[in-house]
Amino acid sequence: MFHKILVANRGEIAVRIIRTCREMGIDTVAVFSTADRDSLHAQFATEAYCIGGPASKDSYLNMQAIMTVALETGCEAIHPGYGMLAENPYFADMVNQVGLKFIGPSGDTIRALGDKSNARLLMSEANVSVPPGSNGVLQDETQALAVAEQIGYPVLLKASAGGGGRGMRLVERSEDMVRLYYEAMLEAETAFGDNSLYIEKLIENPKHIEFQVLVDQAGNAIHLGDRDCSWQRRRQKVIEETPCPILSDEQRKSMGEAAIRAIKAVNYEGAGTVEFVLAEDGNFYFIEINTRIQVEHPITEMVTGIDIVREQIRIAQGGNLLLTQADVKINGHAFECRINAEKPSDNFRASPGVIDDFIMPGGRSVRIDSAIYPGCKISHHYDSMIVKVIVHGNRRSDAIRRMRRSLEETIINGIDTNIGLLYVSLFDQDMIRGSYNTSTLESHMDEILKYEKIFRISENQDFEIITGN
Amino acid sequence: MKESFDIRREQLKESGKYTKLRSPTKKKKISEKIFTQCPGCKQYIYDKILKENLYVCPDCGKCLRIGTKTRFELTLDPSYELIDELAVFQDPIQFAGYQKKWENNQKKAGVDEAITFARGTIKGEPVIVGVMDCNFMMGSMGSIVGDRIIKAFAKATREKLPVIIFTASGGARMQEAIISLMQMRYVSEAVGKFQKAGGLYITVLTDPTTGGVTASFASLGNIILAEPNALIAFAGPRVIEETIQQKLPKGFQRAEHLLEHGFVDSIVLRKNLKNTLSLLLKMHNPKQTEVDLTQISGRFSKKLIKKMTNEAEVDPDKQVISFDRVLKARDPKRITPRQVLKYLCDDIFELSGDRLYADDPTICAGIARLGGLPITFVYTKKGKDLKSQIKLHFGMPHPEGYRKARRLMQEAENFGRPILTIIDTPGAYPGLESENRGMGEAIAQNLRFMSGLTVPTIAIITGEAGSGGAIALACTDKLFMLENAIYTILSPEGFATILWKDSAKVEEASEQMKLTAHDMVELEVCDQVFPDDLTGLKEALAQTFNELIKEKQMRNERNQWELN
Repeated sequence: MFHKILVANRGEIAVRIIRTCREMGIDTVAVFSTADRDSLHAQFATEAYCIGGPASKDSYLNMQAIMTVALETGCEAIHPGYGMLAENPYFADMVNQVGLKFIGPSGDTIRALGDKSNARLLMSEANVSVPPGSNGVLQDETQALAVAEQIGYPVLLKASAGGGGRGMRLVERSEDMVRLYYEAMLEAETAFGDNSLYIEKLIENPKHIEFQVLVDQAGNAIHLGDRDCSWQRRRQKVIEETPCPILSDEQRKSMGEAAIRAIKAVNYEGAGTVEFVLAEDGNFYFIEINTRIQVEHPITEMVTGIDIVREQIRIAQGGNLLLTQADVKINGHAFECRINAEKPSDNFRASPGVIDDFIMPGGRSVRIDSAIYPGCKISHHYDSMIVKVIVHGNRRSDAIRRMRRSLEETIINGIDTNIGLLYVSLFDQDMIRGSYNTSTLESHMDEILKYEKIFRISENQDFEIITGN
Repeated sequence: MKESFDIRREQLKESGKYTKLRSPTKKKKISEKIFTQCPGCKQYIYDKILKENLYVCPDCGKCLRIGTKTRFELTLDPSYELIDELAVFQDPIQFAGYQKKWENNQKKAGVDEAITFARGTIKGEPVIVGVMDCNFMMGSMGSIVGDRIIKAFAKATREKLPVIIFTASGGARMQEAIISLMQMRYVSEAVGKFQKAGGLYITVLTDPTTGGVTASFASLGNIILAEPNALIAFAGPRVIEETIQQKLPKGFQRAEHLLEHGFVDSIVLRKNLKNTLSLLLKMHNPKQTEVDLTQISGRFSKKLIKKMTNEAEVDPDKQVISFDRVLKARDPKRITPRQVLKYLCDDIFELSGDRLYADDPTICAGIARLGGLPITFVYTKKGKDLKSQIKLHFGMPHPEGYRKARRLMQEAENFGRPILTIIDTPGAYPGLESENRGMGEAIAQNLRFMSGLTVPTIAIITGEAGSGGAIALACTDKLFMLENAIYTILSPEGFATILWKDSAKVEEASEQMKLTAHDMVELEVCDQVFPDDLTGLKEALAQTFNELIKEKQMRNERNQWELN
């Protein structure tokens, strides 16, 4: 059993992890940057240590400093949260090398899945369908042309080491291939120091559906159902829900099975997420596996009753899964809205500053995961996501109404937020029907931006039009 | 709010709930070293990351010093064999404690002397590689080091292999005093013999290369590469500071400083080193003797050239006067020699420095492939914006530029590579420094030297070719010009001033001087003219080179016969 865990993160996820640790009777060590001296995670942990300057690279990404704190305070394990060092294979290696436990899969597993073209190969071998494309890394532009010809345009050129859209190019015509091939290669080389590319067919207007999985050290794997994260802006998730409103039982079953096959193919351990895209024709394809806890994990907790962080810690200390797949029951429906410190009407400009007022919603089946409080500073150094509002309902429509109600109650003053955008989104016809895909929010953005100012002073006169009240 | 947290914590502490540990904290001790501190930025780096980054600091880019085995592994293909004889301790001046120190260093460094040679391949190219290890008595050169170098060069001569040496040394070995100094002479002699026999010798200067090593084999490579920020010096900084009582400026004696001063051909990042060495070896071990037109790639496409030369429609009725061509030749938007080179050649690798004083950025030279055949290229640069134009003296080279060109053409002659020069310069730089450093002498030397070359040479004038500064690169077997290029004894403005004391009569002068490409053909100065969009240039160049190669081969054979 672990007695003490270092939480190598900040913000709401650090608070989230510390809370579960406290409930499990495990002491926690928080690390914080000079900008986060007064932040909540540093207050809630048993011990807290400053590890460097405000920039992430000086503090939360400073492996050596974090390691030193972990060793000096006698921690037995390190929980990386999400972002920061969570998917850095070297960090996992380092933690395990000194005899501490990295809460997550091994460095080699993270490395194998981080290499996207390699992950594609692994999945094809495990009989998990991947989007049509190249087998492994492309040799040259001639091969790129040949593969694209075979699978049909439009195609995506992607960096093997990639992520975040860097080193990625959409190729719509064969004439553009050679130019874009070299562009992508150069960008990948600059961003990742690795210029290998692979090619994939572009799946147009898909739904983004992911499965939460848990794998214990003995290799037992279960999934905790799906999440629909298609309400996105520029590949950033904005609203997530579970279960996906349009998936048939049959589809859900076969995707769940594919998720288990996928995770078993890679010597996995801990909590992970298998991401798929669901094409308009009903076919689904593997995209990637995220080897960490995810932002949107609470909606799965709401419908399954399982504390995923608790399971991560139990698995890390060698515990077996207590549930079988048959024991996992999905009850009702859950939504999550991500409140960001940003100004949607000003091209989503980040909005750092001091929070003057913060009234959080509450009541039945409402959960708030956040690290903000009145008087706290939102620094431009970190992610702009500051509050997650998670609600549960017996039916989907109950959950939507509860989320609207919760957002109506939420007040954050001092900085700009996207609460209005989230609220208006919940009245969008495609959202209500559940028929939205990854490009819906952006294609409806003009309309949504017209009304998103409702929660700002005296700009709500048009609101009746969309609510129909 | 902050106070509220503190108060709550105190309350919890008092109740014993908050700080009560489930078990006493046990500090964990780790037995193995997992971090290395970067000597540059002082950051700690995880060893696994450092290793994957080839022992280059990911934060500041500092190349950490590496041992012999690691260097062999980073450079050579996996199967290589060490070729040195076992080191037998020698103590020429019976230096007290030398033997003990020597033996301790063997244990410490894991090598038996400060240099180790291996025979192997780099991406399939056979080579003999020597690596100095500064963990062994600071990589100092004593009699065993000297002996190993001499034997390695002898072996390379016998087996017709190129030699690469990675230098890292404090200089001559003090414990062997004058005998160490003698090694400088012996190894330099060995290098000379090897090069005279036609061998290729590449040195890679790594941190630190100083003293008697710098002053012997390290500085004698046909090609001298260096790792970024490596300290390269004859008199080490400490010696200089103590002798002349002066603080040295930042960056002094670093690889970048030496590059600027003409003593290093190129600074190569460690991650690119293997590829660079294999490219250079391949260039010196060509598989073909002719330009193969089918191998000229089109990465720098014709389309792009067309776009660049796309000008306003010329009125067909209007007579093109010579002065129009002067203006066109000087147009800053005109296609540059560099673009022409990129259009013609692949695998372009630039080499720098005159090995005397400086590297002149106005003249670029190096090795490239033209239709698969390695050639030596020389071209001039003018700069696209004011900043670069000032840096490049508006395309007017200094003497060191011509000396660099001559040095690299000498290498081309040694290794039998054809030479291509591409010229667009208003002339040699007129100025104090250039006169002081012998501009006239530099040009004269080039004229004599180029006229005596036995390898095929072609020059292409793309824009202006002004006076001595141009002919110093244009003494070639064949001269090509683009349609709107000009070749002049001096600028038409200067011509008008001298003859008519009126530089405004430049149009008249342009006509009188006979300076257009077509004039040059008439005057039998130029062999062929090509349109500005380079139509036909590739083909003509390939054909002319191939003809020259054959012709010169025959002539050389005849000369050989006559000599015998």
